[in-house]
Amino acid sequence: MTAGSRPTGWLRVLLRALAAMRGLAPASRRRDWYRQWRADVWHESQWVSRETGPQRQAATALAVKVAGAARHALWLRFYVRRLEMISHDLRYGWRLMVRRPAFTVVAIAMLGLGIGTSVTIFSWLQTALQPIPGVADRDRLVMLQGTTRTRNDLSTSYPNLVDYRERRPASLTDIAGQTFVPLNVTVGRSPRRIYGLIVTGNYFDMLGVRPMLGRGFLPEEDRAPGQAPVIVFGEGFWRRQLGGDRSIVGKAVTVNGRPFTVVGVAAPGFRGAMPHLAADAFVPMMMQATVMAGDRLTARGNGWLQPVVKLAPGVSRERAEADLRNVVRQVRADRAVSGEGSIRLSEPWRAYEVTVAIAAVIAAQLAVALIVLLIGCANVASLLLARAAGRQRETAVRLSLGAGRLRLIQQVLVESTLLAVGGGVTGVAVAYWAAGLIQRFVPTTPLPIDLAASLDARALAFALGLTALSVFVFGMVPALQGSYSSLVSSLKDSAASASSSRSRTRLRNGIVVAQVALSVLLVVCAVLFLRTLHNASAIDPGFSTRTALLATVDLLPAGYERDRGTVFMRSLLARVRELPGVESASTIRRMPLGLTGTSDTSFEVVGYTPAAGEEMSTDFSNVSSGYLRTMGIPLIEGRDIADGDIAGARDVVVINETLARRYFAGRPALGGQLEFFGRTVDVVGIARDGKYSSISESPRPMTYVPVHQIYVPDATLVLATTGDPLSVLPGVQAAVRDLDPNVPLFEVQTLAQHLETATFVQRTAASVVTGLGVVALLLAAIGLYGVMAWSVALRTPEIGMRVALGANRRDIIRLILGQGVRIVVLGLVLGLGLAVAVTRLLAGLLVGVTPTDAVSYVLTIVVLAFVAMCSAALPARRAARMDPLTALRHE
Amino acid sequence: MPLPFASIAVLHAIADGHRFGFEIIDAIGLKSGTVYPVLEKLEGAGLVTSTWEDAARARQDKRPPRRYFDLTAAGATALADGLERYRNLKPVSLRAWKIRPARG
Repeated sequence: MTAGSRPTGWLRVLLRALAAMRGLAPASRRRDWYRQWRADVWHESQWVSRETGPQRQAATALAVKVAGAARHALWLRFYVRRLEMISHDLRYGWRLMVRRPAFTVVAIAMLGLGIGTSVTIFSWLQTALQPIPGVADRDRLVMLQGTTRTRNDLSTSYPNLVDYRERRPASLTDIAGQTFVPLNVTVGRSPRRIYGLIVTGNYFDMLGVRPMLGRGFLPEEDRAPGQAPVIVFGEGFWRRQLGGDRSIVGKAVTVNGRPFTVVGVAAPGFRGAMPHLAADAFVPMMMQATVMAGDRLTARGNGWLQPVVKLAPGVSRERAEADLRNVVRQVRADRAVSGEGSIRLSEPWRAYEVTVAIAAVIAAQLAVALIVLLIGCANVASLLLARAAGRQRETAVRLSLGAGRLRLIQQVLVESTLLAVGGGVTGVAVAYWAAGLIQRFVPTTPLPIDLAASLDARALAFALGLTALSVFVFGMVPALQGSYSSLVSSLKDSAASASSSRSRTRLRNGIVVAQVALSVLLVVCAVLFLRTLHNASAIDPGFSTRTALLATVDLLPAGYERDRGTVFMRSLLARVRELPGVESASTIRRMPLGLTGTSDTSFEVVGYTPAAGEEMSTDFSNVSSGYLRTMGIPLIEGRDIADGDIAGARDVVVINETLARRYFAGRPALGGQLEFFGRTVDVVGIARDGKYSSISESPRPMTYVPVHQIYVPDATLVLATTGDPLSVLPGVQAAVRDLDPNVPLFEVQTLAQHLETATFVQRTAASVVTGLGVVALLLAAIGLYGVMAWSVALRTPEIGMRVALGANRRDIIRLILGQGVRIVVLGLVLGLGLAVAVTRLLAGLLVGVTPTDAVSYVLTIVVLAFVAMCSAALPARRAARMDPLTALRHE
Repeated sequence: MPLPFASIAVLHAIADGHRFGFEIIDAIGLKSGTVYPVLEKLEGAGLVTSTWEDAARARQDKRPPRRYFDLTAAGATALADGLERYRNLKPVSLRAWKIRPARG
């Protein structure tokens, strides 16, 4: 047999088998498939024939190969079909989108808004829950706070910290001490006031922070007080303020008037381990006397540190807390500390009232944003349903021509996915822009609050999840509904199609009811938060002065010791009291309702025996004469702090009502005595209670001590003014300059600005939730309008008939509005029920209103009814104006 | 996504000069039902191209024209990557099976 001869017997059998399999291959590829296999088989058969040897074996091998042709054909069938179908659906979906740009834009905008807000707030929530960025093993970091029966946020003293650290149980890897301090730093010629952290020597090692330049602190720099004037700058400060000068390490700078050496720059992204606060510099604990008043390294009763604890790997916080509590008990016993104080360990975001509030508010906002997304999805679903109605005939034709229902569902889902992807992309763009907006809510406060949120991989994954979820929510309903529409009735004329749209109408009505219900919920939340903000702003802080200027001086960095400091403060007060427009002036160490919290101390009341285990502690403020009068705090009894309350005179104190009531029950508090700061002081006045650290706190003991008797070098000037507080600022600046040009005046703000910080969490909640509530209301209104307009279009012949038979305009309006009212009332009822059930979760965030506040609910009903009626009125009016002839011809 | 082993084997066979279906099958020993779909996928992904043999020449040989495959530049890159990947497989001890790795 020669090459190229006609097929022989067994080759012919194989080729015939191949021909029989042709039907398996998809039509579009059948010819190529057959040509390829035929050529390959032909070639091989010739080769087999040419070979000598076991022909049978070679022929069998060839037959096996040919059997694979069937598999190839079947594979092609599915492969090609899948490709063709998806590309067909994509093209079809794209054409639909382009052909109806208004629909596409509206749908993508609604989805984008919902996804964008949700992703934005999700990124905020991540920041709120992880308030210490840039450290290693942040899941193992917890904050240590002192507790008593009534308090759980006490600072720790240095001697206690050292004892805890030395005796730390195995469940703790390490404990580091830190506290925020303002520093006057001079680099080169320019002095700057920055916030830094004073930290223990193990700080950087424990947090796993490597310096970017230079080094951290050495063990010997943590031993003897005052011996190691070294400073490490934060990377952000170094880059922004020092121009990223890499030669900074080893240079000399001045910190609070004392020469320091720069030894390093911390790693980028690290800003200290105080939740939500960004430190610009770090100084070792042993330099405490340079950066803070008093010798705090030996006083066991004086808490001022916010220690951060690293748990041993795999140890639970509860375990470590229990172990450390035992240590605390031993330390207190060994050091003869009275009372029953203990400690708690908490995740950084749980450590402070304000960090918890931030997280809770943002979590609530996220829930609200997700509901807005849901309402947006419902609108898109509703629009798609309406569009499916328009395509009913097309669907029916395709079904009757043999398209499978799954096939139709797939096509609708591809369209939905196109919309959702558009929404997702828009959403991520929105979130990218909006993530940083959270910083706008941060009040004007002296503290460097840093809530910087950015989109990370998790936020993007969240966006992807939301996109998929929204496809599911708004794509599935119309997909199923569309594919199950009745074949026969759809193919018939429009008279019958009205009945087949009934189920679709019901579905759309249902969707709108759900939307109305959800927006009722959101509007209730928004009203509750608005009322909370109103109440919080209206809460009596215990002082009546509203127009005042605040400005802080710190005499420590300027090198003043106690005597000169006292003289300076007295002269300054005397001068500013003479300024025109100043009614009254005084000073206080820390303004109430700031974010820095208050100072507290242990104390004893002469003649009062504490119950077993009762912790005696009170807030205190070092004030100048006339403080109560300046702030407008009413005196119940006795007198204000006066000019004569100076060192050497009788030690006096003004207490508040709560302290008087709690510890002087049944005997006159005025003339009573307290013991603290190592001295016995006479109670000379009783002031009305106020709010000291937060607007929602319950009454707590407070003592006002004369700053000249218990001296501190830093003080905030409070100047009550008759007119605009800022008008007296130039006079104050001049007064300070005259006394000493080297003493800077900083943190200048009005009392009104200061008070804004007190309600910052409530304001954030109110503005975000209200904004989203309005969006939700708008979306629900659009949804309602869409359904009503559609229903009017559907009922056009019916309306025409009614008008022709004598119905007047009012009847028609009543007919259409009646339908809207039913939907709205049902939605309202469901929404109010939902709100009663859900708003209970918000109880902790509300001030002065209960979650079931009747006013809020009534207000919601009014707002919603108004908006709903507006959006139903337009289609109703159109129906009423319809020309009966045109309407009838519509049939 | 890295190419599966079968795809790399097919690319390798084509690079080695085996130009059409059965040749490739014989070169790598995979089933025809596997190799043909792999060829389609590779072509879909732009890693190989296929051309039909010149019809006149096939007629001269009195046989149908064959479909020839060739690597594209992307296919060559993918093959290089794949070979690298398999070359980097961790050496394992086969002592438990009493097999000695072949020398050379």
